[in-house]
Amino acid sequence: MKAENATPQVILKDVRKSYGQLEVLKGISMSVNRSEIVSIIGPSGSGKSTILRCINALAPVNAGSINVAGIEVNDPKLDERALRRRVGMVFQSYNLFPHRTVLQNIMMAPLQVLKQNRADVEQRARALLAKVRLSEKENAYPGELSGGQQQRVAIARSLCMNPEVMMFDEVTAALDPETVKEVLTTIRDVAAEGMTCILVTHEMRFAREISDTVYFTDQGRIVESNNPKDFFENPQDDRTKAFLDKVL
Amino acid sequence: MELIAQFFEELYHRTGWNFSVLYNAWEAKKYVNGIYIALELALWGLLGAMIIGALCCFLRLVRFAPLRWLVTAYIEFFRNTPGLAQLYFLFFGLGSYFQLSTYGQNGEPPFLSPFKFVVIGLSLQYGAFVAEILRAGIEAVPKTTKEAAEALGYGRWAALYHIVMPLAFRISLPALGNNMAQIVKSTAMAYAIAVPEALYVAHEIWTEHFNVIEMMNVVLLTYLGMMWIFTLIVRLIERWLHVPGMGR
Repeated sequence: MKAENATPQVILKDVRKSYGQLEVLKGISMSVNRSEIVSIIGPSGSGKSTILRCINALAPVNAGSINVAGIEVNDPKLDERALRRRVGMVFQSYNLFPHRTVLQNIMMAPLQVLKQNRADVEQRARALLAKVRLSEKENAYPGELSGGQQQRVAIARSLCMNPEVMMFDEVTAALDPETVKEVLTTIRDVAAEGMTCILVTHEMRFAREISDTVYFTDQGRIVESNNPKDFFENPQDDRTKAFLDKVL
Repeated sequence: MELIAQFFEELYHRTGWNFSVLYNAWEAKKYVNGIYIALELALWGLLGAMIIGALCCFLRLVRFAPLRWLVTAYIEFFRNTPGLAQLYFLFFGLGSYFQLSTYGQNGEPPFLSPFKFVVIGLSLQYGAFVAEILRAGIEAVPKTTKEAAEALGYGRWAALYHIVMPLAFRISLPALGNNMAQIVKSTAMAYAIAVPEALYVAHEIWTEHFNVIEMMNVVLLTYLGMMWIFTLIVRLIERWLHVPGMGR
């Protein structure tokens, strides 16, 4: 369901990105509205993850422009902290900080980066932990959790910064099939609260169920985008058809 | 104590094995003092090496190339030359050139005692190793962990302080412990500039009694004992810093 009050929150215009000689993104344009759920699918190496990394300035772009909630990402005087508190990112490999407990992992950045009040942060962290259904694990260390649990903590950690946009980079790709479900449930909860979400995923059924818009990328370009029903049932481009034939 | 002394005195009279240090109270006192000095050298050297090593590791991260080259030159120099030669260079070379190790014209004591020269020598030599170990530890922290910190808004130094260094230190700990234990053994080179540590005292004793073999055994067992205690302490620190489930 596309949100009616469509205000673009993330806008990419003709974004190009190269690693050395290799051009990974060859002119990506897309626009994501507030509360919209967007999935990016496509074969490995098509530039899906790079799009996310460009949006939060982990990877600087070579050309084009990116605007996130009013912030020009490729402004040379970019305030990275201001950008990253608005854009949360969850990684395939969870990347929790192994020397800190679950609760500390969630509280660290709000305390150390945003210098927020400890009592407030703690209350928020506990609430988020309850939301990802891991309250009983608050004093465990990441190494003591399963992959799915770690990923849910990583989502809570990102949410504790109160972002406006959440990006999920193949967050279930490293998980075993039983735990995929619990992570997808958590993402579904996040999306249901009106968070703007950009997902890079290989979970086609999930993408179809949750997304407002599906983008298909191949060789650094967006080949096709559409609402999930038409995208999956009636793909237009031959490359999309070939890809869907292989994965569905 | 009395019994031990009696036993070794008896042993000497019957067999000729002369462990004089174990029954002669005055020699025993001198030898224990020698052990004490050796431990003192080791502890000060350890402290100095940690400070120098951490400082060098920090300076190497600064984005000012000449500073990095300077630090690298120091590290290469002190890692790849013999400790004893370094001590001679400091004591006889720099020490007499700058009149730090010599008595003044009216018999004023030298600016730096031989003891302090050994501490400086140990600190410089082992500081170079510590710097290398810490750098290896920093490099062993997964790039993805650093990226997660970045995505949460941490700047370069904040990430280093809150996340990378605590992890790097834990990764480095076994190598660091090993390196530190070497300092205990290296205190014996203080012998060369007449610091009355264990080996020096033992030498004094055997020149008096001609009991070289006995005293060498005592000396070697002493070092073995010191190393054993030291290794135990390192292991306790490792256990204290252990994070459940972090076994990388």
